[in-house]
Amino acid sequence: MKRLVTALCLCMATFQAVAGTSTQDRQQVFRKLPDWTGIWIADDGVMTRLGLRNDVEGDSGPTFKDRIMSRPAPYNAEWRAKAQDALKNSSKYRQAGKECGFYFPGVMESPWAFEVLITPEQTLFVFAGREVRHIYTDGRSHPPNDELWPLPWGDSIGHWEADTLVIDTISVVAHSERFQMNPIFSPAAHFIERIRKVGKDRLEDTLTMEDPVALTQPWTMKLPYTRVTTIDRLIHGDCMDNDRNPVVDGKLTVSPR
Amino acid sequence: MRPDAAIRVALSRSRAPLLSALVVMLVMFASADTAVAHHSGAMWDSAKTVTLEGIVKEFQWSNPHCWIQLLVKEAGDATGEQQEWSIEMAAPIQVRQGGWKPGTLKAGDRIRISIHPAHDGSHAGNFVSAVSSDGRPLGTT
Repeated sequence: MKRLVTALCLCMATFQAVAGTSTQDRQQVFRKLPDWTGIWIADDGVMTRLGLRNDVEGDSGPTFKDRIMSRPAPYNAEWRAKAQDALKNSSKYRQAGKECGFYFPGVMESPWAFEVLITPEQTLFVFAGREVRHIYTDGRSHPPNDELWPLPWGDSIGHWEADTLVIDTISVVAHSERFQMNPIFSPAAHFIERIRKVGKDRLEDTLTMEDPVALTQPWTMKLPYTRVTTIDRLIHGDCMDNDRNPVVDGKLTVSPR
Repeated sequence: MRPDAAIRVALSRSRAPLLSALVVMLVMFASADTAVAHHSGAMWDSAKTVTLEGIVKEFQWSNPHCWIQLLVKEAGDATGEQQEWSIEMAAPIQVRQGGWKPGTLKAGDRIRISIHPAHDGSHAGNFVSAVSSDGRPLGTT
C-alpha cells in the first residue's frame, strides 16, 4: 500500500511538473506573439456608413466596385468564360437573393468589422457577421484529402514568422453566383496570406491566390485594414430578427413595418 | 398624432445627370451593385436622391437592418394625408460605427432625410443622410 501511495505521489508530481513546464512554455510563446487587440475593418469594405452603400451624397468614399477582389483575375480562357457566366448569374441573384455573411476570401475584404484573438495554438478571426476563421498554429497539417470537402471559409493552418502570421488555406467553396462577389476558383485553389501589423492602427494582409486550373499565374493583392475607433466592442449581425425584405414575384421588396 | 403633424414637406427629386449615369453604368458593368450583408441594393434607384421632411413614427434598431418609419406629408397632396415611409439603414453595428445609437431618434422627432427611393415607387428608400429639421447633424457622438 505504501508503495502504491508513493507511486501515485510520484505520478502526480511528474504530471504537475510537466503541466507546469508546459504552462511556462505556453506563456513564453504567448509573450512573443504580437498584439492585434482592437476592432478592425477593411479599407475597401462598404457599409462603413449608415446606408446600405458607401456612396453618400457628396462623398467620394470607396464603393463596392473599388473592392480589390472585383478587379479582373488572371483567368485562363476557359475560366474567364466561366467568370463571365457567373457574373450574369449574380446579376439575376441580386434581384432576389438574400444571404447571411461572406465566404473566404471575400470576407477578408467585407464590410464587417472583426477582432483577432491570438493564442499559441490558433488565431481566430471573428467577424461581426458571425463568420469565424480558425487558423491553427500548433503544427498540425491540413486533413487528408478523404476528410476534406469545400467549406465557406476553407481549412486553414498557419505559423508565425516573427510578427507575421502566415496562413495556408485550402478547400474553399466558391459561390460566385451570389451578390457578395467572390472570385471563382477551382477545387485546386490554394491561398497564402501574410498578415502583419504595419502601423499602430494598421493591419495588412498580403493574399496570394494560386489555382493552376483556373489562373494563368498566382494572383496577389494587399488588403489594408484600419482600426475602428467608434465602437468598443463587436456587435454581431443576424439575418432573421427583423427581416423586412420579402421576395415577391422574384424581386426584393420592403414590407410596410 | 401630434397636432403639428401638418409639417412642411420638402420633396425634391434630383437626377444627377451624366456623371451619375456613368457611375451607375460602371457599377453595373463591374457587377458591383450595392452589395450589402443581407440583400443587394437592386430595389433602390441609386441614380435618384429624394429629400423628405417628416416626423419619426418609429426607429427600429434591429438586425439585419435598422429602419426609420417616417410620416411625411407630400407637397401638392390636396388630401393633406400623411404617408408613412420605410427607410432602410445598414446593420446596427455599422450604424453604431457611424455614431448613431438606439436613442438617436425618438417618435415625434422631426427630421430631414435623404434617400435613394425604391424602383417600384413604394414609400420606401435606402438611407443616405439625415439631419434634424433645423439642420443639426444626427448621430454625432
